[in-house]
Amino acid sequence: MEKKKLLLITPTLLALLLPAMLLSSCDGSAKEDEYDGDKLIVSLRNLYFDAWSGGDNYTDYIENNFKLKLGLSNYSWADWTTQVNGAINGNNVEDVFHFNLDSYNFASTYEYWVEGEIIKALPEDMSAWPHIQSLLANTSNIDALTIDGKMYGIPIAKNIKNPETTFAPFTYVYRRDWARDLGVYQENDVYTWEQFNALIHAFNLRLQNDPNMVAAIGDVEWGFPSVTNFYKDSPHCFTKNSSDEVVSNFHSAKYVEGLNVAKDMVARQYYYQNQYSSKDGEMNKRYAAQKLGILYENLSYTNYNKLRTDYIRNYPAVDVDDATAIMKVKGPDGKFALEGTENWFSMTFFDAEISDNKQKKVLDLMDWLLSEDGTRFAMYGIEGYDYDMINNEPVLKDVDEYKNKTNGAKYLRYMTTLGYDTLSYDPLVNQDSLTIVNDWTAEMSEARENNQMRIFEEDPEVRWLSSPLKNQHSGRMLSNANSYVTQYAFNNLTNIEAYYSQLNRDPWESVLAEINAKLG
Amino acid sequence: MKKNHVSIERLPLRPRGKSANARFGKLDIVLFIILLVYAIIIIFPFYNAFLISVSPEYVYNETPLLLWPRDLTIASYTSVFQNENLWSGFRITMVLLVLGTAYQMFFTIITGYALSRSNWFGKNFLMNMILVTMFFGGGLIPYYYLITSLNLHDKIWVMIIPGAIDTFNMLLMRNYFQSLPKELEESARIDGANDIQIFVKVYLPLALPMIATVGLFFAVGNWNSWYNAMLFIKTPSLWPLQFVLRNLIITGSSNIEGTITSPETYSQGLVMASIFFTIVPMMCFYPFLQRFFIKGIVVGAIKG
Repeated sequence: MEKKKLLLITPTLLALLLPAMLLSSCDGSAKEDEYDGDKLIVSLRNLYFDAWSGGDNYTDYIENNFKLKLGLSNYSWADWTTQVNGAINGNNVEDVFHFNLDSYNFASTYEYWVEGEIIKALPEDMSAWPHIQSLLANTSNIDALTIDGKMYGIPIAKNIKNPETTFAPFTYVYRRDWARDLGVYQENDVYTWEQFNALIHAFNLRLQNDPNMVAAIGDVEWGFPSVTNFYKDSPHCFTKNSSDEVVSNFHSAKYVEGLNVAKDMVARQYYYQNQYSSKDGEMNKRYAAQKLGILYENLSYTNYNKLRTDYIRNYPAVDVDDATAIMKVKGPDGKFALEGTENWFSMTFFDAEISDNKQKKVLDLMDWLLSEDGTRFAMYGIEGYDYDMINNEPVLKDVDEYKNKTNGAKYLRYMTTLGYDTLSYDPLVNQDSLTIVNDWTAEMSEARENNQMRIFEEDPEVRWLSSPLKNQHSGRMLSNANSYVTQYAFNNLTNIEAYYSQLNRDPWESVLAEINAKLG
Repeated sequence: MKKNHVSIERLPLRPRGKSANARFGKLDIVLFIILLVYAIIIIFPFYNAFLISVSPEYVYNETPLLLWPRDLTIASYTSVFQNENLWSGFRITMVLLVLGTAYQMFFTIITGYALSRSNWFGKNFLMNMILVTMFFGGGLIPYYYLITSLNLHDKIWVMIIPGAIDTFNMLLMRNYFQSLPKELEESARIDGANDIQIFVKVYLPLALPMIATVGLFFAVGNWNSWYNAMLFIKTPSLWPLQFVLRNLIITGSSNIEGTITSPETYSQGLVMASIFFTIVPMMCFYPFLQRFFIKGIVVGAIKG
């Protein structure tokens, strides 16, 4: 009898205790500020590609000046989403944290976090932090991030010096020296559509005399097929037709026209045949091994500089400027075509449970890091110790010695802006590569002003629209469509009907109907 | 009734006839070829990875599928051996290996032994409660809350304490103890031994093959563990080797911004050298324990 009682009581007790145990750590109240001496303790976690947790002289300097004790840690690139979601759902998020946010996870994260009171709104009056205020003012599509008139994070700016640059540097590098040798080089690396095709054809013929070469052109894995850029109106799922109705980009006649051009180029073996199964970074390696004549890539400073550095190291006899020349291609419409992009990348958030005081102290720090003084500190270190001011310009005392130091302020500043705006100040940046990228950007900006460039992008109204079916399906629809595009180009889907048939397995019709209904 | 007896002498040891004296028959050759191909499939990735780790970047760029070594360099290994994060990861993994394995062994052995003994009150209930965890987990969020409430975040203990008992290994231990004769316990008891003496002096020495097997399971598990570190450890100096390696591979394999390598090295070379850095210790250790491993598994599987 007693045994039976115990068997009944034990599970019942366990069942009652379990929720109590779990809920004991779900405390919704605001966290009390904690101090280490006179310093306010702040935990801060962001994404950086190197492990870093403070402990350097520069972080100490900041902590002393701002009376903060910073608990610093990094997310790892591969596990960023898991780590942030785990911490959020486990109610253990840091005071300040960093998360990737774009239109495709806007509704499922940002909106959800705001509704669930997981993130704290910025103060309504930001005038005490003029540099952050200016950064927010220059953020594209800022309205999309505003909910009930409040901003719940600070978008991480890609380039606060040139906030108007809203096109991505996804373009071609090519072997200018080969083009010269083959007699197909065009002045200033500007190619019309016909000249571009002639160049690819010439490179393809060159294969016969160069056993090392494998193909005329290769696209970075996520960018295939780049030639559709010159036809399509949108880089993602949705576009608008002439009646201003939202339609599928991948079903549109313009996209399919570009796709057929890509298919034809694959059939002629202009494209590298391993393109179909290549893994991340493979195309870069093939180009860096002189196996491709043209490479389509994200030519951000870091990527471009790496490509040039690889060439300089591996082929010192080759002129690196000629081997990695940036090509400017005009499409069949006579215009350059570049993908439109936001001028920000991800966001810095504040845990909803931190005090107003703590949020203000962190904003003070971020604002200072964005100022001229803060930027110089992050880039050059401490005056008189690391650098001297000569003719009003900071000059490092010993570049090699400084390279070996860890300047935590640089990492902290990265938290605010991704660091790209500081490239031109950074004494450790290769200015040759940066100048080439900047010249290209300036040239493209000028072309845009002169109506010589077509920016293809998803209409922000559609992109940032939050609706149940779109939120649920659009991410998968995009990834599936990209896969079908590659299959069609490489003839695994042999005809256009097979391509459409695969596409239509996803609920395009219902998602589009919902979007159009919502937009009225 | 006559037994259907087959004399051993009448069984031919080798096929008679033309190839009776041959060392290998045709079937052996076919099997040999199949196994050779299989061995190549298994070994080649290691060989290729090793070649990449000792090749300069331009050789790798020409073809990642290297067949023969060319222009060998140890730059990647030099860089790996100078990488403080890997050494720090190595130290943490060694702590996990020694401390974690000992801790897991202790709880697994005593639980397995207790559950192998004659019926005692609540035994079946406890056994079922443990078995349930084999099929149903609480899920990530309750686990996260549990770790938070135990205040284990960012502590090395988070990689040790939650893994005290692995149900599968505990069942192996229990089955093994059950397979040992009960008369041993009775004899020891007649000789005046108490429960602890019976366990320590009688059963434990007899269970050594299974202890070695389970110990190897735990050791390999601890050597390869990274998931708890990914979720709960923020301080890089507390990351175990596999998590350091994972970050290195992912940042090194993809062409993401910020991947920095020294002028003499390149990402894939570093990744492959790091992989060898992490697998070689376990590869050296494994052959010595393999005989226990096989024996223990077979013995533990007899009785359910």
